[in-house]
Amino acid sequence: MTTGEATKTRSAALLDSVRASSWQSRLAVALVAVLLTLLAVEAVQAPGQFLSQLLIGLTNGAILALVALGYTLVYGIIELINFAHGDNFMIGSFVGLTVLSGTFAGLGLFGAITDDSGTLLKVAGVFIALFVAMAVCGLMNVGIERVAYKPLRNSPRLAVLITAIGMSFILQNVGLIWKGPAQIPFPQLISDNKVFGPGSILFRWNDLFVVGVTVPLLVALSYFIQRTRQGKAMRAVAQDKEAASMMGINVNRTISITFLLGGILAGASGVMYGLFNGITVFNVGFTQGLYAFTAAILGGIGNLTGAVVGGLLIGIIGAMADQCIGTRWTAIVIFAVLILVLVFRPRGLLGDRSAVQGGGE
Amino acid sequence: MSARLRRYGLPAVLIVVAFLFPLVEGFLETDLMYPLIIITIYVMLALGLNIVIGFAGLLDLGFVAFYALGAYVVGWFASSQFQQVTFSFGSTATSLSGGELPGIHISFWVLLVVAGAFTALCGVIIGAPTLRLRGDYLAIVTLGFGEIIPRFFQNGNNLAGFNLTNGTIGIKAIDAPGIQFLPDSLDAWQEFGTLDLNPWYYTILVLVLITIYVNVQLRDSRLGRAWISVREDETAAAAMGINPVTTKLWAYALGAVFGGLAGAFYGAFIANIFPEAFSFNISILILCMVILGGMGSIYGVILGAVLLQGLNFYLLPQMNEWVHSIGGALGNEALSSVDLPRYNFFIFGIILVAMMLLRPEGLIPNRQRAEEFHDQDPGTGDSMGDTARA
Amino acid sequence: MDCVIRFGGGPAVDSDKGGRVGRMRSLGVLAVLGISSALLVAGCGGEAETVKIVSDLPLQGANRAQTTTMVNSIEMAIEERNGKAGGVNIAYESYDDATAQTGQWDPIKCAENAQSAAQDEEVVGWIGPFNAGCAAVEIPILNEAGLGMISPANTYIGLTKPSPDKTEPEKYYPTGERNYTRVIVADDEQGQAGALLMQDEGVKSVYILDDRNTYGQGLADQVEKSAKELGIEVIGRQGIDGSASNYRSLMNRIAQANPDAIYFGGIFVDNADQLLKDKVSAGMSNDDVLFIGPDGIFVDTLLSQAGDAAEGAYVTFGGLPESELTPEGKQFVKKYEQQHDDEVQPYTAYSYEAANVMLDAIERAAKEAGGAPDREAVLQQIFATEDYEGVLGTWSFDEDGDTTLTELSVQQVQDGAFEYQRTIDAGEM
Repeated sequence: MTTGEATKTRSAALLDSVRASSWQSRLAVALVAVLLTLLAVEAVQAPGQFLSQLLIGLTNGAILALVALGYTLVYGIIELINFAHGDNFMIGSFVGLTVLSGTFAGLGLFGAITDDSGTLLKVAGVFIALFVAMAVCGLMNVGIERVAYKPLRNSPRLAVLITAIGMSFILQNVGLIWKGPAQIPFPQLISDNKVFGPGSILFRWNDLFVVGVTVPLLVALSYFIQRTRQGKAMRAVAQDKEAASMMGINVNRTISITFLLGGILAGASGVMYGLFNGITVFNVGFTQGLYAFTAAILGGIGNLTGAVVGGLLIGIIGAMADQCIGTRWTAIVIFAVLILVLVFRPRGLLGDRSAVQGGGE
Repeated sequence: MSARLRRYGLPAVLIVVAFLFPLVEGFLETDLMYPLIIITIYVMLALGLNIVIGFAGLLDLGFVAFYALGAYVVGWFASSQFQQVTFSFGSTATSLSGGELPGIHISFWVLLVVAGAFTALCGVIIGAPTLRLRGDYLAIVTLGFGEIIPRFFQNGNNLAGFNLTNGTIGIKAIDAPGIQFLPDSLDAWQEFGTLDLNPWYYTILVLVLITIYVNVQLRDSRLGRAWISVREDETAAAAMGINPVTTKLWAYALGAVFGGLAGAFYGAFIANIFPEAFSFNISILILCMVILGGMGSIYGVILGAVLLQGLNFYLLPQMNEWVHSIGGALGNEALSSVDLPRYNFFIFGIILVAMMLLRPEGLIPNRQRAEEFHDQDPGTGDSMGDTARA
Repeated sequence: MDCVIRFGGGPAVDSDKGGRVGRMRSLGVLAVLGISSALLVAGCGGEAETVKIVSDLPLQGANRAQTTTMVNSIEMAIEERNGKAGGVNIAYESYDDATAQTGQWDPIKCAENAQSAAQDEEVVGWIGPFNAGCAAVEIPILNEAGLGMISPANTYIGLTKPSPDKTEPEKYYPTGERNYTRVIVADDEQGQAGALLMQDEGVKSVYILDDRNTYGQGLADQVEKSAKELGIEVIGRQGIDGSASNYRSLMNRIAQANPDAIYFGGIFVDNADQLLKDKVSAGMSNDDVLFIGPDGIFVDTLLSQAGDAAEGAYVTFGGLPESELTPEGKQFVKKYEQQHDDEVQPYTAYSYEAANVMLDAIERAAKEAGGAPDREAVLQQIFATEDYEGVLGTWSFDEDGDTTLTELSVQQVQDGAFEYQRTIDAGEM
């Protein structure tokens, strides 16, 4: 959903931006270059470990990318940071867990699907869990928008932001009451065995699973946005709400559909997260949500490709930080990235200035 | 005369009640002193945040960072955390074995000043990057800092081998405040203990009163008016000769000071600091207090703090017990095993959403803010006054 | 889940003086009153007085099953004495130091509970807490209040004995007098037991992890020290984040270092199950690379959450499991399971013992005081516990408040359950 800037030849534009860049951007580029060289050194010294860490980063990043897309879709359309989105993701994982356990509200619908079930049952279970979670989260997101955000569309921004925070808290508490405060294990439906990979670089079934779910979803989303009428409507509303409504687009419906899409993505990534990491907890939405938001910002808020790129980057940064500095500092590193990007380059890597009204420069 | 009475009457009565409360409480022997002290700490925190959000309109989601910083200042300089050094200055701590007491032990009263200054500095450092940002991004950056700082404390026990913050275990056995030169008849005041909570109560009460006084002065000062104008329309304010940079930085610094002082008191009171205590939830809790009470309204914020923290800390557990006994009496399983404090996130979330939908200016609104919220012409908004999509 | 249970007698009954009565009748009533109150006063030194004991345990979250049995065992101990000790009624209140949001102990709650008990003059004894971090907060408060404490579960060494932190244990006792005791073997011994276990199993190199909390880190320190003394190479030492979602990178790195064993010092709620799962998926099965943990992870939820990954893991315990208790201990287990639906857990016998020691102390103090004893007296009697014969054996408190018991046990997970493996006597080390 990027607006087009005046087209120039690529190299000319690049040269222009280098000349026009400030000392901060030059410093940033230099810093990044230094970090990359350090990483390269690390890669050469222990290639096996480096590559397996990279892989971990990419798979974590893919999950983050889906959540980041949700943030970016909503921000692009109504310029709201949907604080509750991360918790939507958490509810998605809980819903998936409930589906897999086979019972809901005391009703045993079918036997629980566990590590010991047959392969066919496992596959079916995964698909059902994904679909149910996507449906529930999508609808929930639409509901939240209707109840909490729509009435405040003409209110000051502060109000909507605070409402979003409130919704986030409500969802967290729903999770807390539903499944308790401790971490809850997911049945291990996707095996840990490796599919291929030399030596210690393990490309496992779970990694394949994450790729196998993310890529189709991204393709579907991209098709929807670029090729369908509704997608066009979304892009129009993102660009200029008033003009879009003057063109006969039903703005309210478009916004609802955007939230629906965001919710679907959150639900899918919630289930994936649970299956991939084998665990979920009521406050996972908070941290993962913040990481995903960082990813969205890094890639360029409002820009879908940016969200995906940002997600993968944050995943890799996280994995590399785990490896080189130690897991305890990873969260701080990612939040530092968040702050640095917001302060020095709020439009992110791929975003453009127009998508960032009132949010920065 | 009656205007004077109206203006000063209510505060005077409240202050007198607050001062006399421990005597009444001691007489009635209710167990309220401890919750009351905790509530008062939060009143102070809410008043601090009120300066940043209420007066200056900067949505700070990481206020807990200042709370943590104040507490750790006391933790560093009034405990045996840094055992490599031995330094004592006016502290109440004495070594029981008679020898030297390892660590840095400075008097609590001195540390209050230190904590205030240090957190003010940190407020400026945190605020500086946000100056060009508006609205949501400002909030997110402050949120980022609010996350980084407690995590730093949690992991700060091995900074290239140096144990700065003692990590997750936290800092223990922090020295108590005390006024040593008092006569022995007031021995509870010579070194604040855990049995007689009155010295603690009066200390925090005085701190809160100072906070309120400063708040009132600020609100009615040039700086206060500068905040209003920057909040409403930064460009116009700059055109009028107000420097938005310093104005905003002052807001952060002053808000931070009170957060830091509250943190310092908290550290000394609980005598143990754990980094997990400084989570994002606390930032939101304080935000909730300010929103519920009324942004920019001093009475409102105090009310919000008393209501919410009273609910959170005292009322919910009490109600829990009542419901249990009712359940037990009626033989109702569900009632006797319900766990009300579990729902406190839920209640805060609902309060935030409901307040924003129904009465965003808060329970006791600040008139100026109330008008901003119900502004018929949203185009002239500011960072926070802007509609979600212009 | 606070509850107040009153054992023993209730308030004296008031006689009814209402209604219009003639002077003769009122005189008669007064006479009856006078005689009956004189009788009452003469009879048992007035109405039997009540003292209160409290327990402070994390009643929510993963430990819930364990701590519920502990509360039950304390109630059982009181009931067995008909709610009295030394002629004094015993009231009991169970405090919860956990919060709903975290499912584990919370420092403010610990402080508040201690404050509550300190202010309540009826309280003469404290059983608990469960977690060492909580104890660090509570002991100074209760020390000032002069309240005697018996913990059934804290094993962190710095609470009673010197530790690497030079200011421990004095910093927990601002008055200079001790008020804290425990019936379970402390971590200096458990650390040694861990190292001895490794030596017995032929471990030459170990990677030590801890959850960065008081108990876990302290224990990991002890194990590191003892391992080095026994000549086992400590190839790495790392603190983990107990709330991380997975430890794949960490386990990856450890796998590269190729240790014979991994020791985890910490409690279950700090993600011990996830550690096990990620360890096994990183290719380090529990047969090739031993996994050893302390009693902080000795809880059934570990088995249900970690599943197959827990198979073969070793767990040390600062005491003996119920199958190895003395005959009295086994009788206690039988009696408990007859009266309650739930099963005895590792710490149940310890809380039962703590309760009985407390009640004995109150009894002795009451006899000496000729009535309801005060805190000071009870505290003195707690420390005077010598050659106590209970479900744990025959033991005394030493002057630091530690038990003279020295036996620890080693459990191993086999077929999805903790199986007792052997006893290690730290006294012989």
